[in-house]
Amino acid sequence: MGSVDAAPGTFAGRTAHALANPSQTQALRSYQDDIQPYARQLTTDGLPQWDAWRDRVRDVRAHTIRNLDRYLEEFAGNVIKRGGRVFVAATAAEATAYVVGIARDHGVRLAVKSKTMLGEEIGLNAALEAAGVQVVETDLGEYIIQLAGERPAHITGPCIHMSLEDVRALFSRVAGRELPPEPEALTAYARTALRGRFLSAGMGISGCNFGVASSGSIVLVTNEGNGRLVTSIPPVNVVLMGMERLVPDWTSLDAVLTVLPRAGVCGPSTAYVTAISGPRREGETDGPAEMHVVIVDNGRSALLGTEFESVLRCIRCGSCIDHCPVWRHIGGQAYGSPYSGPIGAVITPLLGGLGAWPELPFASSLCGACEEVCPARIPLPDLLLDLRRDVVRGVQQPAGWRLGMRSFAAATERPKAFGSAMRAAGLARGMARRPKLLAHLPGPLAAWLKSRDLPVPSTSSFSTQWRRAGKRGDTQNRGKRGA
Amino acid sequence: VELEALLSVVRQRLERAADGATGVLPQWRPPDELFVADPAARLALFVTRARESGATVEILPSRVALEPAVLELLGEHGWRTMIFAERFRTPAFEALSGAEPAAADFGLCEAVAAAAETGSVMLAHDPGNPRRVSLLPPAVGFLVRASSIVSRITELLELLDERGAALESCLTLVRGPSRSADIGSVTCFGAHGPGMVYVWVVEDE
Repeated sequence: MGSVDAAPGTFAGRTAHALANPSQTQALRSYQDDIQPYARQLTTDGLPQWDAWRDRVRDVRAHTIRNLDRYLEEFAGNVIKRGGRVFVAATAAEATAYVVGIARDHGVRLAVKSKTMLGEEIGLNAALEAAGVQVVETDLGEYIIQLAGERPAHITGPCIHMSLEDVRALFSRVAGRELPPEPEALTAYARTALRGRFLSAGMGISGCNFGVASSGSIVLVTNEGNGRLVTSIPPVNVVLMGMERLVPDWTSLDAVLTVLPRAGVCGPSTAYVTAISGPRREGETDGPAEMHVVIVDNGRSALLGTEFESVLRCIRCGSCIDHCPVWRHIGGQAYGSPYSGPIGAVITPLLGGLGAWPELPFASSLCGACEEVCPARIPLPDLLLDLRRDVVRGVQQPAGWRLGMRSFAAATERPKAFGSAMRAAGLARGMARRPKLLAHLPGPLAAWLKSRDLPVPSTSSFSTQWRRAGKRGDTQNRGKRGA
Repeated sequence: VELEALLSVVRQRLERAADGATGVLPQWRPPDELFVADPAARLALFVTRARESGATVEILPSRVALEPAVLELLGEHGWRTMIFAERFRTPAFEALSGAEPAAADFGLCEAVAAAAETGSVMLAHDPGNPRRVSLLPPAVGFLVRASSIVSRITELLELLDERGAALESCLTLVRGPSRSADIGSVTCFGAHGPGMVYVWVVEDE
């Protein structure tokens, strides 16, 4: 069993908090409305046979995971052959202790970090800071939420819930002067503020999109260039890699690398794809003198050979989040986990335990949009149902949640029943003038009712739109602008 | 030791559920229509896609034309210092090496290959081609040989498999300027890497 770094509070409390924030609600809605038609276009225009690509991604990932022992051994051997060091961490605590140890050995006082969700999962920043190492996030979105003292709202867009004005006010406070409300100027401010940190940091910490077993290489798929700086400038580089993050060889990376930026909707490719094979070589001025690859289990190996194995195929594109009607309302932070949306609702309890995360499998309407778009063809709704079954079969639940969860779960498992529940919700909303009645409604439904933009069920609920669209694959009918 | 422990856990778990079947990953290639056989058409596609990515692309009649093109660009923008890959060391460029390489206005690199479909160039970093040349300055230029342009990453990845042990410590595929859309969902260039990208394509010498 692993552990996943959790936000304070309860799921219900965080959801209520999110729904009471109109600026965030607006930001989430316009983000999805913008991105859904764009995502659709990227997966159809210029790339024929999208579904064949998805089949290939599924096959490559499934094959790797079915033979993970073989590929892990090959990968680790090749990292060492190229001069890197490998550490295997069974738990989050082992991983953070190892990284803290490297920092101590080298007298590191400042570490620069490029975005790594695994780093968030294991709570690395807190561990380093407790050891007296200052950690600076350098991905623009991560930098912003670090300054704001928040947690990521989306696995590829950490501050997607914040408005331009939120960021302007935050940066102005940090800068000690009023900055203009222009994204370009604010981006340039961050570039200047962070450049010196890259040049002076004693350690760079990065994640790993893919490890190539046949060469022991680390592949990073990025847009800003901070991932390149973190792995090129500081004298020590620590790479955090989930143990399932491998592909057999370069050729098998083809479909994965083609599909990831399109599903993650950066474009046909990101600005940078970086392949790192070991530390700097003789005569090189760039690259770390010392490179450590930390292979993290933290609950992953326990999924092998179970009905949940398919979740290990995930390539962390965030596409399921971009199309999730629940995330659209409550945002990523309500989940309390660094992983939000459908993938977060599945992988968080699987890694961190249902005992710690009993609510998340219910944070879904089971509409199926996530499975429709998943480039690795992970059957997310099935996995959510399996997890709900496990919860009902006796994993402890917080007492006050039981009733609300049951009715919510039962209703959402069948579209028709969900429709009637939503209509009931509509009626209940009509009774909102009698707040006492409303206050008695437990669980997620209560939080949904408090949402001011709860769709009127008979005309515009998600499931109604879905049915009317008549084609489950047509994402363009979902967003307001696509309709 | 820890790796062995993990491998044994993995083997145990997989064997229990796998029915002994560990298949071979079948060969697969993207649809044929994505491979452009005609070099002129491939070059045209690369130029279009690189421009779409935000790069400025120019086709040079010969390699000799590179130095004046670079000097003209620097002059236009008032850039005074540059860093460059070793093979571009000429008296004119050397005169522009500033005292502080990390603060150079411009970087000049040579691409080892390029992919038309995405308008990307591939850099192979070694002692003569440091990573920082394409990373630290606010603007960067890439020289691309027309004959090194392939249709898509499929062919580049096949090359990497062939390189085996000769693989460089770092390879980078660059598509246009560094960018971020984290603030207000507006795409901005020059987040941490170069915000301006120039590509010069030359026919082979």
